[in-house]
Amino acid sequence: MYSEGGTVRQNKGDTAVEIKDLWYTYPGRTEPTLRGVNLKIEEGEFVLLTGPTGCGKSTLLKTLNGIIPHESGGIFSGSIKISGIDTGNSNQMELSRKVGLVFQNPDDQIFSTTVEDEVAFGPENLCFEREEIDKKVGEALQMVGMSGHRLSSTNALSGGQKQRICIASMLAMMPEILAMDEPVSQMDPAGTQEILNTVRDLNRKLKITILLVEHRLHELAPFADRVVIMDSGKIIFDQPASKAFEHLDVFHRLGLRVPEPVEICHTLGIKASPFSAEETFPLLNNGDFKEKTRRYLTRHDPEKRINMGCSVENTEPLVSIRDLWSGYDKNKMVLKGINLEIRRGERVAVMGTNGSGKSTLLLNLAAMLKPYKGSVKVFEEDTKSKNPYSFAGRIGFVFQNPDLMLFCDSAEEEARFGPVQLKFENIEERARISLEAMSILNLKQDLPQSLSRGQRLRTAVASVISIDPELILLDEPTTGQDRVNIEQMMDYFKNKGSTLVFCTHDIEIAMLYATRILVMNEGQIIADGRGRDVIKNIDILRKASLTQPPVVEIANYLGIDAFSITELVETLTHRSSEVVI
Amino acid sequence: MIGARSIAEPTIKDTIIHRMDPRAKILILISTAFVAVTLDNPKTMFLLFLIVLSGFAFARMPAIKLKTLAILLILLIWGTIYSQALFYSQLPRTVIFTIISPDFPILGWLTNGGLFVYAEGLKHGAVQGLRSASILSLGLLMCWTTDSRDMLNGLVGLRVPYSVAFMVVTAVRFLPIIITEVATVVTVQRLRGFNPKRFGSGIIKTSLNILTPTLSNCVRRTGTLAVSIQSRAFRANTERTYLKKLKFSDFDKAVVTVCIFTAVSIVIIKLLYNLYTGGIYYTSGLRPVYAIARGYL
Repeated sequence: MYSEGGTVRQNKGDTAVEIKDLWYTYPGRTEPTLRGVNLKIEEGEFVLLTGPTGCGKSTLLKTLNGIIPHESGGIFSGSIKISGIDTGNSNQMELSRKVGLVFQNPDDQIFSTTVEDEVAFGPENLCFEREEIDKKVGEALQMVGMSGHRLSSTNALSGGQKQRICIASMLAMMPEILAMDEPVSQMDPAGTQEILNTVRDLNRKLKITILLVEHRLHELAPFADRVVIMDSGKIIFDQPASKAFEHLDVFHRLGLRVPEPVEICHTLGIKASPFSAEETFPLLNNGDFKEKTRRYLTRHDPEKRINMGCSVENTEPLVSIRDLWSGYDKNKMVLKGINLEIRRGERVAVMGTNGSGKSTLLLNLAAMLKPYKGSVKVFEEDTKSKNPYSFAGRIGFVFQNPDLMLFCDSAEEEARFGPVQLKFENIEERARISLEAMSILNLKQDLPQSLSRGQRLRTAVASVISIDPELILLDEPTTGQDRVNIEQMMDYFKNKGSTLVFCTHDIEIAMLYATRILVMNEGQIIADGRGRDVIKNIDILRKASLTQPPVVEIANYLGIDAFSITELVETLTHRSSEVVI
Repeated sequence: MIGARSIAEPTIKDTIIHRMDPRAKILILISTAFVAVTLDNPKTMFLLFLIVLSGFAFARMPAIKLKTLAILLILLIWGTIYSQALFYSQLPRTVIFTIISPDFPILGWLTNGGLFVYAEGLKHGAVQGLRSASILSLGLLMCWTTDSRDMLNGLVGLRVPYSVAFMVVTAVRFLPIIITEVATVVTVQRLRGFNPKRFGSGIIKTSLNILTPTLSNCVRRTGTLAVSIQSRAFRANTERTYLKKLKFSDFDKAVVTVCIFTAVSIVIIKLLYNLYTGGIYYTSGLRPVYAIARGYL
């Protein structure tokens, strides 16, 4: 195991969390989920805990406030001390005042109908006076940038806004430790930064200890003091964040995403691990990359070399939208005058802020929502007179929550369900191919609900691709998934030439897999074009709470037209060899 | 999918009904339930039903909720009247229509002497139907006009233990999400070519298919919610404070007083009347009371 703890912990106070030889097996399971975990977190530390899906991260969080084993049962051994209190000998009520937990899905945590009530719940339980509760609610909402929504209905908020409320409801109690399980997985990049800056401030100014579980390592690493990686129930890596990426092999082996600047530097042989583009610029200056690149570019036109993506100009439009106005309440339209054509073979990424109308657009494409005004034509049929079932077998929809798509007794039955209902031929073959494509053929007899989150998503995708629909709609398919799962799914669609429309906040995935990016803001499309064109327009990105990926910023700095690490490194490598010659 | 959620969630507006204290609404519901159970007179029951329905007009309920209410009421009242009309067993009873004659081969024997529609059954069914409809309508009006957190505070204000009140309100709170999820599962099935409305196997299979994902999701959500509220010091202390202070207005007091007085009066009058008709207690001084009970209650 890689381990180096001393440097970061200096100047910190007492030990906030001390876990010794922790083993835990869930009731009804034979294999332990946690296998001898040892972890020490000092007061005021910001620890980023990551690892592949199903490695035991979330289970470890639940041990911190005594949910495991007090509420869960199961076989538990080892010890956990929170600020010196042994969780085994303490009650959950006492621990709940020390550790605040924020989970992945805000809908599972929010039970009040107004924001104010939700945030006030904790302070009310702690018996604060009314004036004090009022003040704490106001402060907590301000910390997460939701002051203007104090009296809003929680149901009217977008996923990201709801998650901010969940965080605010914990902040209102000012716990000593804030343990967060993928709290920003449903948020747009700007919202993510806002929350992380807030959490960082809480950590730095108020010395709240942070333990944050997240797959989006590349976005969170700059905020953390330490990076801890779990795999198969064990901690296999524990390093200060500044040194963590010196061991890239570990990250690559586990399919974890590394910050782009780190990847670029390591590929170029620069021995440094910068987290941002700004930190990368001086390193490239030192290597004289900028000057050499300028000389190279005078002899080469990069536009001729870069892959321009597939051409679909002459293919038939599968989707044709004219002046679409749609929403859930006729007095409050979500989509406001959308015009759009999607052609066969296109892979369209729909991006934008939380609540900008991305999911509503997808629901209209699947005829689940009807236009209030304007028209939506799919396969040349107006959806106004159709219901979603008219498009069974032709449109495949993967929902954000794959669990609602799994109702059969085995993964194989899930893949067979569609073809059987639609009376297709080669049912067994279709099921096998789809399961194989999602690498879950070995799990075909398993109960879908018992699979890990990543495996459940892949089962849901397999259940759709076994039908081989002409148009595939994915609503935030990257949420809560690790890199391996995302790439496997998207590679399949890319290689098959599927017509795909997917909502995502992940600009790197959009750049990598989309032939076209739509940027939405307040129910309108504010940009529509090739990823490399859209990504150049900083004003548009800012308007949609998006930021340029670091690789593009670095490429701009070097004056190169590169939009992926491969392109950037390729250009720089070509340049190097030419300069040498 | 979205419609299902709109139906189940409260509509928050600024109307006289919405502004009422949740405790007042709960007390009115309890009083009305007593009245509805006590009444036997179809005309008075119908009047009670109309009074309850007028609440929806005052609350300016949206069309989708009124439509839902209408469907529920039609199903409830028609179902009750129909079943009571056919299976009314008390005597005397007057046959107004014969569905299966006692002489009809096999079916006559199977139905133990035929199947008839009875006039008394219709009347009894109407009373029973209106009784249930009044309580259902008022319950829906209360849920549709009260924020769940206000309802929680209202229950606690009426001395219901906080944990019990929390469980009740949270269960109601998650109902719209479960309805949405059921609708999503049905949509998913149909997008994969399944017809849930297919007679027989379609409906059974759909029900089973809905059960697995929604139940497992419920279990997962319940677990997360439990952890979430426990980490927010739920029941950490025996007492707790409240940000919002419920306000029992003069209007609330007046309405609740009228409702409770009416309910208590009706129950007492009906009790005295039953004592009289049962031959247990009679006094001539209560003749006007007996007359009211006989004529209107």
